[in-house]
Amino acid sequence: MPVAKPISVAKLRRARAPWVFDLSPASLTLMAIVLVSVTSLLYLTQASRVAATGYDISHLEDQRAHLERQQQILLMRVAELQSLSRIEAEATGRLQMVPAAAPEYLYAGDPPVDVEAALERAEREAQHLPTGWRERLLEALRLSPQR
Amino acid sequence: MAATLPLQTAPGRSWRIAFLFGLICLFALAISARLAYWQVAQSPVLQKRLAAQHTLDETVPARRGQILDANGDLLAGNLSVDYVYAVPSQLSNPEETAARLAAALGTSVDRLLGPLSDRSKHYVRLLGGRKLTPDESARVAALRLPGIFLEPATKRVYPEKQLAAHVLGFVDAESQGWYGLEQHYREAIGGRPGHIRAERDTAGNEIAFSDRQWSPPVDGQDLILTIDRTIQYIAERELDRAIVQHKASGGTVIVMDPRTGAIRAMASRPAFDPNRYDEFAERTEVFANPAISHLYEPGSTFKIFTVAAALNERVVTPDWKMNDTGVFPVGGYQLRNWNFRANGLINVTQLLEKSSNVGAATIAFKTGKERFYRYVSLFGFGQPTGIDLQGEAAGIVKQPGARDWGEVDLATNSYGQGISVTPIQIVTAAAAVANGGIMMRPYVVDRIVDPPTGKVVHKTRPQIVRQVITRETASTLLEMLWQAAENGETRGALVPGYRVAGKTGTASIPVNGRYDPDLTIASFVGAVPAQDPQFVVLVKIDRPADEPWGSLIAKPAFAIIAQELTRYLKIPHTERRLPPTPAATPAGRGR
Repeated sequence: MPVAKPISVAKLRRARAPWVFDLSPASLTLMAIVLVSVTSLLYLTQASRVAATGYDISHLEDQRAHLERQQQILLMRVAELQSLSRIEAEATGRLQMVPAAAPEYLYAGDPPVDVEAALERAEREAQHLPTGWRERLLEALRLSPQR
Repeated sequence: MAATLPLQTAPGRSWRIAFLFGLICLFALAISARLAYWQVAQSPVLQKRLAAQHTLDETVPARRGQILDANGDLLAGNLSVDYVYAVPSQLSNPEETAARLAAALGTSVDRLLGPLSDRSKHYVRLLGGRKLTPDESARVAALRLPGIFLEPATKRVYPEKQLAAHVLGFVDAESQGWYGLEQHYREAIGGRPGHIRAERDTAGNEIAFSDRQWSPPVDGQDLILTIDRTIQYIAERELDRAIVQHKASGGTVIVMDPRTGAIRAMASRPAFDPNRYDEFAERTEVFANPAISHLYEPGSTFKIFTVAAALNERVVTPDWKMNDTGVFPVGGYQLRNWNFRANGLINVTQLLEKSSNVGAATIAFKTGKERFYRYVSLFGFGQPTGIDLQGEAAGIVKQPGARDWGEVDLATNSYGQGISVTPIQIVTAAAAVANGGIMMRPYVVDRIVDPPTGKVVHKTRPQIVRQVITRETASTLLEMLWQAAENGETRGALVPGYRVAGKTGTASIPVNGRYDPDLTIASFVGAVPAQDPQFVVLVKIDRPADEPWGSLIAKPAFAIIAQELTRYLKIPHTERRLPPTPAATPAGRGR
């Protein structure tokens, strides 16, 4: 069974990217430093952004709490202003209003049996439309002099 | 060749090195011991301190549910407020700080200077732990005084002040609900506090995206009541007016829907402002709701139930007649009518019209003690009604067979003396008569709502307690009570355009085992309109000073309340013939 020889694999790799193996130790060190620096910079940027976002969130939460507090105060103020005792005191005090007298009720007779028909008749009368059967017939035949 | 000298240690040098070595070892040992002390022995304490420094570990209070009336108007809500506290060690000039703070808070410098100068304390809450108003908080924050801080808290606020105070109860500084709904529904409206554990920065703020354990609070649920703010206001206004006019010591008004048992108003005096409950620390009895806890002898309003029992058992009919001689001898006592007069031959309707004590006692004896007390029990006397409020009393009813019961009790109980009831029991029993004999359980909370979702988590369904009397008996009795109101001494209770079925009561008050002739409780209970009652009102005035009678004290207040309610509830007129307004009607005298 054939086994790949490590040295031949390494040779093959070297042949493909010879420039990597031509770098001096100083260049390699420099590259390593740059790599570490970039990674650190990225990390620091992210950490700083997280911290800044955290403060933004905290600030927004404070703002929300402040607005909620203002809303509560306003709602409570509305409730206090709508208090019936305050309204009555305001009406009788500042506005000099007086309590309404007890209403007097008058008997206006029994309502008609057919309320709908009575309402329709009243409406037609108000619009000067014919109400009786004769007027309606004339209206239908368009013989009415008024129409 | 130079000879090399063997290395020799000078005498005395070896012990110095040994001493130095020993000293170093001792020092190392001391350091190790000290290290072990801090790292091992003091480890839990230090870890705790460390955790406290950079760990935010707090209980997050739940938002308390609001209480709203039947129309959604706010009766109890919450307000974010602050405590003001000081760190005395950070104060460079306590006198100046006290002066500036006193000016902002409207208090005396002396009140603040003591706590501010007390450097033995690391932290001290000012103003005795009182929560600041939003305006006060703003003024204190604007001062930017070093060593003075604001600590956020929540305050329960009742914008209508003492309106329905007994129904609502109050919440103390520790956010515990007491009395009324605040105590009865403590679990539902109190919610469950949450908890947060996270890392914090030097300013004490939570570090975002740090390890966080968050158990959110469960907010309290909102209560929507059957109480209508406008009806409550009318009831309280008329109650106040009657108390002032008659120089009474207190009183109660209850408005109930007899068809459901829903309480539309429940007012009592003396009352308190739940925003300032701490001002009543010396007389905490004012917090108890008299409408459900005050025991009193109802007087002649109880005749409604005596007659109901006799009618239902067919012992009498409305036209059954008796001779009222003005005296009822029983158990060695001579019981008399309220006016010490004989009414002659009267029927049962006239008994109610004239409020005859002799008539009531005669009917009670004709009904029999077993049946009479069975109806007393069926009407709910001697037992709580089950209303959803804190502190309901059961009342006191002496039963036959009890050691101290005598036949005279049957006679006096028939006209409402010698028996102790609560106002809510009287109105619930009267409502049963108004509701075709069906007694409903009274209730105050219509529904419980989950505030974030608006979902109704509980809806109170009207609950039938029992059928006390038949529909026919109830109808007959309402007719009799209406006739009594029309023709009898309750004429003044009439409401223009409506039939009123009602009964006055004037009860004597027992003091040291004897009835005080100068002290009475005047009451009126009535249903409107009598043909199909939409509401039942009880007006009870305690110890009026000018007149003792229910017909003169409680009835006019009932009339005005009922008149305003018919308009407010838009109840159609039931009567063609319109009587004059109640205010213009001369009231009769009766018990």
